[in-house]
Amino acid sequence: MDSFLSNLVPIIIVGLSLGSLFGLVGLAYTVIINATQLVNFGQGDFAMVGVAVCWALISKLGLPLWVAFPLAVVAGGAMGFITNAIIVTPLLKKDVHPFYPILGTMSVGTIAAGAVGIFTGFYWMPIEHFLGNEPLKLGGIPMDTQGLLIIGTTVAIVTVYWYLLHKTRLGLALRATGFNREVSLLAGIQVGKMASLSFVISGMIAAIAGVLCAPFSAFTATDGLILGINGFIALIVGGWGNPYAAVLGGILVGMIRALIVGYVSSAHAELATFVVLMVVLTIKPQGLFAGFMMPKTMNTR
Amino acid sequence: MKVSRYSKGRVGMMLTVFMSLLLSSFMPSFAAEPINIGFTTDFSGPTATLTMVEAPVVEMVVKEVNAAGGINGRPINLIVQDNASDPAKAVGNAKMFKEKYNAKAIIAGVTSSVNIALKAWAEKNHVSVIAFDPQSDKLWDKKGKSWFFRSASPASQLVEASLARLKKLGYTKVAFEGTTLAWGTDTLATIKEKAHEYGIIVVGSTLAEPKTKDLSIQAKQLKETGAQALICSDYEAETVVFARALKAIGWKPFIIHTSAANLNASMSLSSPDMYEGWETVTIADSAKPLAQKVWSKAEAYTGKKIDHDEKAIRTYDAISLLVEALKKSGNPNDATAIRDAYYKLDNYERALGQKGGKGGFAVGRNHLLTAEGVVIYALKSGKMLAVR
Repeated sequence: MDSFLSNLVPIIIVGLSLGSLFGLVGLAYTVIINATQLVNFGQGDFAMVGVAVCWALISKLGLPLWVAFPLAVVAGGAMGFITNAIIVTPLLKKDVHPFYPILGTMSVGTIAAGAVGIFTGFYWMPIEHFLGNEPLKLGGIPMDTQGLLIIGTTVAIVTVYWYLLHKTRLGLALRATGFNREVSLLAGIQVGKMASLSFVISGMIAAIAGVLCAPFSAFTATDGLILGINGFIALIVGGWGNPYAAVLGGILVGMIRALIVGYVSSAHAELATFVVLMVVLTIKPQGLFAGFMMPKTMNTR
Repeated sequence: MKVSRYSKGRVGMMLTVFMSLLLSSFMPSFAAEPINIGFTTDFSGPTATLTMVEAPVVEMVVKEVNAAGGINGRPINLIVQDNASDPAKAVGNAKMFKEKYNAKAIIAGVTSSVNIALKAWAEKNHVSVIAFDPQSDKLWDKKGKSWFFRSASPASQLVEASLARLKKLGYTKVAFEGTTLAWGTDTLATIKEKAHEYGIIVVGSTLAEPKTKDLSIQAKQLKETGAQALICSDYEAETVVFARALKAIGWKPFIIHTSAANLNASMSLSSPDMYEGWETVTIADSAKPLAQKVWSKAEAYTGKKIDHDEKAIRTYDAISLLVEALKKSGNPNDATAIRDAYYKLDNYERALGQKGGKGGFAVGRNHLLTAEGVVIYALKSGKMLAVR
């Protein structure tokens, strides 16, 4: 029992940090889903682009992290803007099946991965721990500072996003667009701009997640896909279209992975993730936290 | 966080096309029929970073051979395919090399998992494969002639060298951290099998999935086993994660990594001070003139500084051995003659190994390097210094 308890605190910290990362990517998916009803399958590659820009600015131009990180977030937003402008909006205007723009986002992600890969030689893009390698000791328990930073950043982003959605006119417009595109148009909301904004916000959140994740284990051009898949699992486990549920879903998946690693075997963490996904799909396919903090005008179809 | 290698291969396919175009541009004009050689490795996937050093070495040697007139006037034509670290894809590549391009020999890179599948295919389809990366003991034929060869030494030799080192330093309780892929699981099995011969007890072990983000829980568990020292067999990114985890929990055991190439890469990805005092075993001897020559040539060819570890020279050995086998076969159109020619290369000088230059293949073994060829390096102030 002693061993069980002494292991529990570090396991919770690892689970929370890993889960927050997945949750952030899940949140990034949800931002677009709420505004456009589309899934951006290039989401993980948005994160990778953020890492690539941050790494390039630091290693090639010698910029400090505190300058490179915000610029990488801007690059993530730009990636979202471009994806929407060149693929999503043009296809939506042609009134094609939703699968077409979704496939388009996947194509943009693949091209981005290939382009970054050619630039980097598919080699690692290492970024150092933001606060150094020395652990922070809280109550005598050493904790990884990057993990704590991820948890704190996730709380901050969710808070800001909640404020944007619920306390601003812009948030109201975003919610209305997601609830009913046609009615929003009639109400004078520029739904095209709302879609574009959702891609920008989503790209920025993904870039933040990617750059925060990179110091854990260096990214390569193809690693966005892995992060994207885990974020998507968070979204499904938490609740489709609910940004807060996506974060909770991510944290749940992260915690389960950490518990499996801590008390069973690290070789079974991947298996556990997909078992959880299958269980959720079987018993509560709408997601475990589908109604959590759900605004009335937020579309979860 | 392992995902389908098929998905990862999408980028690799693009690169493969690019590589094929690049390689074809190196082909001088020959009137004679080219000798098609298949080349499959992972241009994408978890260990693709090794390929970035290794693939140019293969190109370099082929270009040199072709510039010098090829094999009896016939140029070597490399058919390049990405396998994305996927055994099924690698076997598909091999099948295509044989059936579409009529290739009579194949050269392959990482990983052990991929090459175990390739070996099974080679033994059945009678096309020789020579690999430059895999270390799994499952690739070691104990008897009979094989269709599979490799230039890397088997894991067991490096494990035994590691155990001997630990014994010499007086460690008796050892734990293991390694990859969930074949290299890690095979190394762990060998450690468990051989440890008692060195008076060592294996008190704990943990396997990490590729692309794992945090190993602090596993590191803490290993610490609680009472281990005095660790053996590590993991790829570069995961080694970084493990080193960081050890630092996070404030544990500094003696560590010996069974791959100098991966440890070297880890140091380039993170602060080298995290590895201070670690040791590693390798069959690459930096003092060997031929090894130095290969590194210099590879740097001149690529125009980039490359790691002075075993990656480039084991690749150089593999492609050079293949070229020699083609020459000695007397008939590069005969797959069996090429396979048999490998066994006649007793006097061929290899860049790998500490001693001697004889690197042929004896019947019943697909390599000849022995533990005497292993060099131990210690990491001090970010540099690998040979322990002689």
